[in-house]
Amino acid sequence: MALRGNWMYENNGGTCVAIAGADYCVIAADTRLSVGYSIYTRDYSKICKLADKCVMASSGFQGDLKALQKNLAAKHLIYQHQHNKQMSCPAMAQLLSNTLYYKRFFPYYTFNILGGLDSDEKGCVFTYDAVGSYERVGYSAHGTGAGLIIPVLDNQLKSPSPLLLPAKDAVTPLSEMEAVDLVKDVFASATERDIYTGDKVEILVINASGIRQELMELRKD
Amino acid sequence: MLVPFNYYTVPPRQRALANPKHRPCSAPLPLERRAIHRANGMEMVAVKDSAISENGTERTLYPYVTGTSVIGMKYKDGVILAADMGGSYGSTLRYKSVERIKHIGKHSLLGASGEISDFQEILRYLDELILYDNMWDDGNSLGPKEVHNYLTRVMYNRRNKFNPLWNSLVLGGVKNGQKYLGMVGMIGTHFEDNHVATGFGNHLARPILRAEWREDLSFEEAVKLLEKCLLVLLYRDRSAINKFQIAKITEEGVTISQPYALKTYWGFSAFQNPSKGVEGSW
Repeated sequence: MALRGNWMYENNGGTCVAIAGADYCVIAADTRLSVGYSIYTRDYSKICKLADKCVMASSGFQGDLKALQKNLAAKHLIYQHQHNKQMSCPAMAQLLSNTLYYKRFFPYYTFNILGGLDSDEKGCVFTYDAVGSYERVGYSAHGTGAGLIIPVLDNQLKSPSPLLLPAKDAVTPLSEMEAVDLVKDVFASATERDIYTGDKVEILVINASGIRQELMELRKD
Repeated sequence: MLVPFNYYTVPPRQRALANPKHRPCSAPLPLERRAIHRANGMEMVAVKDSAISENGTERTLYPYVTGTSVIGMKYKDGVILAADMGGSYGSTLRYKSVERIKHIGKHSLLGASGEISDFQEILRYLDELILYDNMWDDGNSLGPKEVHNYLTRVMYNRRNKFNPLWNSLVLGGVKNGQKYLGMVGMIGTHFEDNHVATGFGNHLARPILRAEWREDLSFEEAVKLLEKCLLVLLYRDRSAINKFQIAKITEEGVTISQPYALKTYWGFSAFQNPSKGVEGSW
């Protein structure tokens, strides 16, 4: 790839987190859009509602992020026209993986987390890298503050190892309120030390009754 | 065998090669691989500083004639934009009457910083867009949100083809009472806010706007606030010149002011007698 100086990518910062519960899923992302050491805007959503029970949060390069969200939304619309139903979360997860790998040699510089309810109405979280490798997990974090957040989630959620036999369920036994509180705590902590995380955090909770949205203020420095 | 980056091999006679659109993936061939692939008995042509592919096409690698910051903000009746009128050629101030703010259709204003020729190309794209919109003759017209989205797509797609339009654009407008102000960068980064700025304006003007912008600024107050930002940019941005245009757009229409200059103050004691203390090893 002719990268003369790497002008074609930039990291617009930000962090996103998702936690899966027994019958809910919490997805959160901060709303700061940065470039270098500047802040472009404090009010930019990195979350996209792809389907009724499926929400994507990403961080990375904002141009690619928006293009990817549009791409998936368009594909979902076609799916709805062809199959007369919404895509399930696992189906959307596969679609996202394929879409990312399609651009394997000029990647979407986005680090995505897909969250929602699977076909059994259980919470599910899928975590991705920039070129489409994905895995269903109990919780995940991506972005500039991820390194500060994942250890805390590991400690608090005590997710069992995926290598155990028989397989133990990765979803957390925490209640919805406790999970939302944990997410708020974790973002407040990441804001203290990560310069690209802050301003506001947008928290979406998906459960059987639909999607609920909450905005929490964070430090603006 | 490592071929230096800026050497290309050119087949002696035939230049028309496989249509790049037929290539399976969207990325162009790495330049070094192209050179090695044809290095058997063909001429090596040294091409300095421009990416000429086999088809003879070129793409932008860096900007030549550039404009500096554009600042914009919403105020009570609409949106107001300001930019200076300089076109710099590196460190030379080559053009001093470049209009960097233009109106687009009935509802939008576009200000651009960066490569001026790419701005002119964008204006041609938008001309065509507005023309086709008018030709529908259905009473509908493209508002600022639509134009902003169109520009975002154009910038992003050009970046995907490795041939960017080297601009940062500010798009402001009013339609049906709704004020809109957004920015698009050269690789497709875009956002919407109450006040925006490009380039140096981001570092120098945005902090002032964050501290002093209010929802209900009158036009006079908005101009004063904008001039405060422009003055700071004039003092501290070396590519800024003292010749500005302020453009406003409201539901009624567009007004782009005549060029004018701001009063600057240089009477500090440290500036008197500048060659005092010139002698000496320091």
